[in-house]
Amino acid sequence: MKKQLVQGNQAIVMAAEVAGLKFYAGYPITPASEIIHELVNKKHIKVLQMEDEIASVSACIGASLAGLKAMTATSGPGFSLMQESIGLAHMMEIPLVIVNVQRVGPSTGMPTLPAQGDVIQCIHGSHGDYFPIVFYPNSVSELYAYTVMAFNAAEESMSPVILLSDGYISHLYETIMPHRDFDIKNRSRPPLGKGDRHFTGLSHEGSVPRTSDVDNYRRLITHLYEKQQLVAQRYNCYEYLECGKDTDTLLISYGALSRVAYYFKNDFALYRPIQMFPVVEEIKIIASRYKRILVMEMNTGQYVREIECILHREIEFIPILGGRIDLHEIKQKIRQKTIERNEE
Amino acid sequence: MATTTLTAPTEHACGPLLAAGHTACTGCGEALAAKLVLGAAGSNIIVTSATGCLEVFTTRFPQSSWEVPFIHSLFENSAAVASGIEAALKALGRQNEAKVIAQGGDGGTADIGLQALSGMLERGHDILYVCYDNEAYMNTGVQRSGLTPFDCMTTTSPYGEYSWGNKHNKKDMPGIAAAHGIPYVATASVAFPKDIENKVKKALTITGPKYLQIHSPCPLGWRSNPQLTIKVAKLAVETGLYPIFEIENGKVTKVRKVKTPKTPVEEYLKIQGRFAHLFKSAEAKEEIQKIQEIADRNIEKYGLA
Repeated sequence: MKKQLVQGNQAIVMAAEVAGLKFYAGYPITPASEIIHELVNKKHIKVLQMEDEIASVSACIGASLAGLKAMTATSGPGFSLMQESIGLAHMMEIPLVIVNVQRVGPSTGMPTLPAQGDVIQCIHGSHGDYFPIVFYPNSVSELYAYTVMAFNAAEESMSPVILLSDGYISHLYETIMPHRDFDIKNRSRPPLGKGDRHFTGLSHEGSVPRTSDVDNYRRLITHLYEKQQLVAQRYNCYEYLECGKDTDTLLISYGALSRVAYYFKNDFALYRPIQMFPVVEEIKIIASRYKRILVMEMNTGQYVREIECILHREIEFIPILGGRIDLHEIKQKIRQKTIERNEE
Repeated sequence: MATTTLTAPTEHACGPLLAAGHTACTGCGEALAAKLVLGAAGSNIIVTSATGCLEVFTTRFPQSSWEVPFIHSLFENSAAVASGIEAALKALGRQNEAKVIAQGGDGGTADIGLQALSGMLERGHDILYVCYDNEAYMNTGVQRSGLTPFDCMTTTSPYGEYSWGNKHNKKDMPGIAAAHGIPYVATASVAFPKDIENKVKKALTITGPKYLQIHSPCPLGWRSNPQLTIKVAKLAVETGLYPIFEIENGKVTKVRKVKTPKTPVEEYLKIQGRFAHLFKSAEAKEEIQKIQEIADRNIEKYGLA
């Protein structure tokens, strides 16, 4: 096997093929468009260009029900449009993969500079309670690996799994080893005609709607929650680098920004969630070793709240708002935080 | 007491209402079309614009080419935002102060924006909707849209062993608009600037929803010589591939005739890279014949001969 120099979006396509992708529906949007450009040239994958992102994710729901492994890819604005249908896919327990290559928002924002503003949208974008599994790699080879994981987790959990990326990682060229050494999960849901024949976004028992049975609804939501937790625990992916020297600080970052965090590996211990949601429980044990927790992300504080929730302690936060990752700026902000802390 | 005006001053010292200095590509048909629309409409207008090339190249920081009130909506909601503006002006009793023009590209009109446009047409808003039709998603990298012509090569309808390019026919957007029973639907082409101006002026005298679709070549996406934008646009009309007509209250009232003998479609196709694959093999002749049939059907349907 030979190493290959590929772009992040290209790696997603290569891995999706390995994972058994057979159906793709999408709508043009930068910085995700390379994915559909690559896929239209694959003759064994059915590709539909839809009229918008609502239609794209909806077509994936249909195709997944009919029996094909399905994927769609978009960026923030398209992800917003998909939200109602994502809720439907959770309610109907549809395995599929949604790639969101984040750019600066809200709205049209700064196409196509990178950002990390869609983190909370992944779990709270649709109405009601649902519990998505979300991966966010930080390199091209990780995009390759976690695309396969996303397909597997989708089948195991029978739910739409979100693969987060950003304008940097997806447009980055790196060498990867395009191996096929994965345990690929088979389709978990029998195709239409061979199993259930009634599917609905209404509250249901089995496949039959039960729209006024509150106890049944509560059981259903509990089932959805427990199922997702169970599957997520099989992955629980994160990166933790202990510091060479004695430090009381744990620096948490993810995605594109975490690549800059490696620069501080001799000053701080580093933690990077790859499975963003459900939040990996090991963070509790790791964090207990450090007096000071520092979170930086490319938004005004989305994941830091999740960390606070799980650790129940004070967390320092450094926002690096979208569009630019500048080492000097980050160094300065960390220095400033440290001075403020020492003064207190 | 100072009165606030809704729109830009009528007297314009600074030239065209779509100011020069924007960053459209050389030979951009859309830039020319938008300039003509604004020039004909005059300064008493409020415009909305869907996301797309037009919005991008006219609003490069820190400048804007728009000398009139300009709202950049999202990709799908230009017609809906315009509906709100028009309805609010009516509610405020200010509807005589400005005309509302909603704009979108072919993707923003025929695909993602179709629902919003249909609602606008159905509700009868007094708005002129202008679709700048360059026949693909140029801003995001030349992907096919509902208005991409048959057999055209784009990044999502590539030519290859299994494909001649775009499999689907161009969506009949003017027909869809007319089916809403609106008073005025027209097509135009940048090859005929006076015609665009006349149609905009006429449309703005009519109360109710109006739909104008302007064929606007994109040298980058069509892989045509930027110097030949007008020639390309003219050939689309002369071959019958882009019929120019007006539909008033459901009836075709005026068309631009094509010359006899008719111009074969090859004349139009061969000067564009997006159709270059149709000139590479003997089998491709059949495909060109299919395109000729599309032109012939247009000529018959609209009585262009």
